[in-house]
Amino acid sequence: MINVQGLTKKYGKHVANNNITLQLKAGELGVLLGPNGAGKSTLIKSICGLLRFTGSITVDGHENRSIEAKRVLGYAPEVATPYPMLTVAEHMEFIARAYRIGDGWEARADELMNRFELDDKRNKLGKELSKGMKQKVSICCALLPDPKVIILDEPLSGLDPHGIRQLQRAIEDMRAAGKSILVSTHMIDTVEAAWDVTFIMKNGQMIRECRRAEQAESLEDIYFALFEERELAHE
Amino acid sequence: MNSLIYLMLRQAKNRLLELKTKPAKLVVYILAIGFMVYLVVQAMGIDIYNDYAPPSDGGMFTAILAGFFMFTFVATLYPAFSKGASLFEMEDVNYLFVSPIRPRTILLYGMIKSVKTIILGSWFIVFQANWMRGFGVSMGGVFLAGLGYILVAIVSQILSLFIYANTNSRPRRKLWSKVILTVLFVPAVAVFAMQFVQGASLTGALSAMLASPAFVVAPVVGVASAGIGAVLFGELVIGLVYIGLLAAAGMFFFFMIYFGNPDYYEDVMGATETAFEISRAAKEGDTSVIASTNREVKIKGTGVSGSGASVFFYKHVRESFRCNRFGLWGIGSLIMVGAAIAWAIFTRSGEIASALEMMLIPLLTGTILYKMFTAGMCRGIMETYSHYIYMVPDKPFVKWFWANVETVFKAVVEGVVVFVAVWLILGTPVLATFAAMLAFIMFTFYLSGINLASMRIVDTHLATSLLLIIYFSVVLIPLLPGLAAAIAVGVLVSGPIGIALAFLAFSAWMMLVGVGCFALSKGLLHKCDMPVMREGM
Repeated sequence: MINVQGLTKKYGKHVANNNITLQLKAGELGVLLGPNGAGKSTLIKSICGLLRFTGSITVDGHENRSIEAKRVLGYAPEVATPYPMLTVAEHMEFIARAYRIGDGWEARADELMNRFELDDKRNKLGKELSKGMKQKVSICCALLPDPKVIILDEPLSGLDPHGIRQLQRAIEDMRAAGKSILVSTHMIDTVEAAWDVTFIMKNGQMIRECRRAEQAESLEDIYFALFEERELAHE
Repeated sequence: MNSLIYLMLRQAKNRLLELKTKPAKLVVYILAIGFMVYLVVQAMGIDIYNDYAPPSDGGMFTAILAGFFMFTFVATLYPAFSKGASLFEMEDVNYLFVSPIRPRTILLYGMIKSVKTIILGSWFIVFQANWMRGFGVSMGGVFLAGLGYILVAIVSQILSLFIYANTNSRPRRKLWSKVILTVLFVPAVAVFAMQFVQGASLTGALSAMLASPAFVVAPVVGVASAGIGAVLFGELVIGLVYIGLLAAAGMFFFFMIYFGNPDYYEDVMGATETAFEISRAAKEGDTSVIASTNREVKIKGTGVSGSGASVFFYKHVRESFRCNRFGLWGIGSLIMVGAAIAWAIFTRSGEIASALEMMLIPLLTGTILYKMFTAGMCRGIMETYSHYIYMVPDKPFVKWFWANVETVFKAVVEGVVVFVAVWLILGTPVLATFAAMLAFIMFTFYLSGINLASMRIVDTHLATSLLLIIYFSVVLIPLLPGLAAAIAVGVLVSGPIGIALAFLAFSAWMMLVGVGCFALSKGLLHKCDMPVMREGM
């Protein structure tokens, strides 16, 4: 579903992503890990078609900047930025119309708002929402078109315990429905139960890719073992 | 104090060193300094006697200056009654406020920083030299107006801080402060009203008000206008007395804070934190904090219409009506229309020296410049700082079109109202007025094309970056051939028809360049980097 080949992204002389290759299949949950400044958000923005890069990216077989790719891609950015003068319900309507979802979107929007406890906030304006609520709206907007590929950048930041649990369940449901989900997070334990493949980045490079089926260790152990190894090697 | 001097000097030095790695900033500085030098050299070449000669239309000029001082005063004083004024940055709060440096010394440091900012910001006044010369104001007069602005801004800033520090969390005191400030303007308004009722023209009533002693008591604005006006008309001693009085009042309030309230940290911290939060959120693309106001928004109608890319337009309509009661026609439009109507009324009440159709030229120039300053942050542009416009599965051009329909629609309404109103008031020739209106609308279309093309050139919107001066050049330089063609047509064909044809030629050129920009930027929205807010937005 997501196929990244030799992606390089530079900001002037600074190489934010260096020759990254990544593949995520249907029904897989990919976890993007790495310290701050590793280049995870740049990679995600490149996949979503928000940045220019060299290399190639396809989403569900379509070039990532094509309309076909956009149609099947849902994205919740690291910083949720709702429209200040639209209500929560209007955000749903906006997405439904923009993606031309057609009949039945209302039921799905209701289900999402109910799931993320936004029901009583339907008529709240974007500017009146707390950080966590903004994050929930952003996630609902990403999930509303029922995309085949979902990319979530630090989706848990600001979420309350209920929101975290509901997002975990939503991710599991989508994975079971054969969708590809790529999540960037620092909260490793929240994806421990469901991950299929992990991509670990450092200094703009992909330093390791692990498939769960090939590993006996936990995700946390893989991550920390890798960095401890590298620290020892450095010493 | 040593640490604060070190802080100021080190920051200044680092800013200079930074220019080595930021060529765009260096270019802006060189252009600004070059322009300043040009103006100073030009001023030096002027005969000293003429340089200080009173303006030929001094009454009108003093009225405009008083209006400008009033705007500065109100804008600077407003925070005193809401979130509070601040002389500090967040880093000052975090490092200086917790340090063992005396609060009074820190206050002095904040004041010096504020004065520096005001002086640096005052250079925009010299850009106004051209239209000021239209009133017979010399280069010396322009610098004098700049000095007046600096004085008004500094004293208003101190007064704002003083009021906030003494009325914060004290609603009664706050109310009384508002009442006193308002009452001090009443005598001036009364003089104006009396003159007007007695049959004076608007300009006459305004001049009488400005010349009356009642206007002098109007806080800050009255003394400043009287002082600068007196110097402009050659009454140097009287002018200096007024200016001295204003400076003394500023010093008085400063020392009241300096000696009276060393515990001002809490008073300024709220405003500093708010300003910091807005700036941080804007850099992250979160415009909701910028839009946050104390005004309660009543949600009457709900829902968003449209399908695909057109949904952006309908969303803008909904947002506009929530932001202000005039909908698409916001406060910016009202200011432009109001200013144009006021200008037409003043012009009619005075003696019109040139042909009526020629009056459309300054009107078109003014409205175009206003549009250039205000359309840079229109909704269509702001949309590109959020990911939705990139992610929506529709053609890039279609999305850009719908995201900018509101701006063009607004321009059409503004154009029709402004030029029809001026036609009704001044009786300008119909065809020339229509052509000027078309040129105004076409400029908005052209601006939209330039904004899109600028994303291709520098990966960001010039209008929202530090490169504002380059933005103006990018907008204005492509207009030159059209302008040359318009002048040529105007020279070849005389009378109202000639002016109308000149405007039409100018409109045609803008349309051509606009279409060219759109053609060059085909698919850009799916190929560019999503911009982020820069400093100086």
